[in-house]
Amino acid sequence: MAIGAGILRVPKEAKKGEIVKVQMVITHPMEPGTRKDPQTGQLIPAYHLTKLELFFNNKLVSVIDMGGGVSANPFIGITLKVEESGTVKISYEDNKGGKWEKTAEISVV
Amino acid sequence: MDRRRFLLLSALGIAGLTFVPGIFRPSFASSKLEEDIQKRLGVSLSQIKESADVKLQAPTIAESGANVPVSVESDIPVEKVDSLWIFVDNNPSPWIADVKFTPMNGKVYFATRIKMGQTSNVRAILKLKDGSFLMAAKEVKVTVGGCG
Amino acid sequence: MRRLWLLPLLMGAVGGIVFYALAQQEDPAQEVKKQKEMLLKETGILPGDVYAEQGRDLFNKPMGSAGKSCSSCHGQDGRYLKGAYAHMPRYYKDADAVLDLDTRIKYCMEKYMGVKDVKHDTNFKSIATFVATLSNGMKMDVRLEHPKEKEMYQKGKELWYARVGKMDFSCAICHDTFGGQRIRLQTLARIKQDKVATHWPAYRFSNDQLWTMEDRIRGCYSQIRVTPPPHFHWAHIALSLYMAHEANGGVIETPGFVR
Repeated sequence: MAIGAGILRVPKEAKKGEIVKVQMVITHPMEPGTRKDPQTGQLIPAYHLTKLELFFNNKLVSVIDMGGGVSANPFIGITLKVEESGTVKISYEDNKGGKWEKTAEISVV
Repeated sequence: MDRRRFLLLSALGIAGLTFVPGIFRPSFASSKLEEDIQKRLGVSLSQIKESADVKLQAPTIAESGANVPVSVESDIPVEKVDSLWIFVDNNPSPWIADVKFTPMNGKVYFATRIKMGQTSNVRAILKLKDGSFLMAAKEVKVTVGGCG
Repeated sequence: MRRLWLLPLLMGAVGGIVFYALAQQEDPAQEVKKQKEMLLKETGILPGDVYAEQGRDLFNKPMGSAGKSCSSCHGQDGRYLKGAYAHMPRYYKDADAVLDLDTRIKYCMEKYMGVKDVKHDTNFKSIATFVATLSNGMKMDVRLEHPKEKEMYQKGKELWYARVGKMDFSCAICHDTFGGQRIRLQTLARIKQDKVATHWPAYRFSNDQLWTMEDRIRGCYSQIRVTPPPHFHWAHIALSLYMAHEANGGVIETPGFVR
């Protein structure tokens, strides 16, 4: 499966001022760098997401810094207060220079 | 002492060693945790108080240490909160992740799945904008299941 | 000091009662439910469903020398495969054999798509999971009409009851005789009442992996200290057929969420 592929889930609609859950799953092995390959006995090099930023209408909402202690294929849940319609964007990167983005729309009803 | 007395005292000693520790729950040396907290938060663990205002949810028994779901929530207004930090006492590297909040988050909430190397406390530490810290801790038992 | 022997006895009793009480607080059968609810509440999606979604993407993607995707024959998002899993394993005329979910996918990929060297890796498991989800909500309905199906069913039944390996275990010992009881932290599934085939392929939260029934059978054989049959071996087809038939009438709900 494509590393860095993400699923970003937000409700399609929200009332003005409502606090909604922003939930995401990202495909990534999240190797901490301390595990040994059972067949070769070699250390598996660290390969994990390092940072995830949450934006709403291009304004920075949250920054999550993480390491190999987060489980593989990270599931993350966080909240967002919706004051206006717009675009939720997550932008994330790993320790090997991989960078990805994912967006979703919310409308205020 | 005579043999009977020796045997009796040995039985006492063994019974004590076997059962009494199960009643108390020792927390093992957390020097790695203390170092990590000092390094990342700039304060020592002993200065951080536990508070019921930080609600940490995690399973009591996690059969797989590879993916333990945890969630942290607080009613403290998010405008007063700077960041949330998650540590696992007995992991080779106790720091797991940290989240910086802004008022746009609406509330203090964060959920994810973490790795735990062995039975340990999971700690959620809130750093408030006034420089103080609040913490919630929960012990999660990490086991291996019986069959597969 | 004449009654000193009472003391260790008393301490043993107290310790034993404390341990017993502590053990009662956490029922492992509830742990599955709790983990599932927690994941759904906090993350809104179950890991198994993520694999199924990835399976859908792979299903629609061309692979192999023929340049076809699964959807080239089976319709976009598998719309012609709805309900197929409810009748599997079954006899397939083009292969002239009874095939289970895994072997059928391998057969299709090799013969019709020109994929070489099909491995039972995560991508494969995702496709298998997606195909199984196309029968969600339907009742398991495995029929034994073709003589080869009847023969394979008999083989499966024999394997189910055969006592093998260093520990002389059979499937029946854990899943018929002791079904419903606990082995360490796990409650054993009962083959007749629990209709297990309806919730496989499943996501196992205990090792964060998606397993098909073939993986599960291999896992079980390892547990009873028998070299597990390799993937796509007929033993998997036979046992899957037996288990699916025992699950007839059960509602299919995949991917399952198990420990």
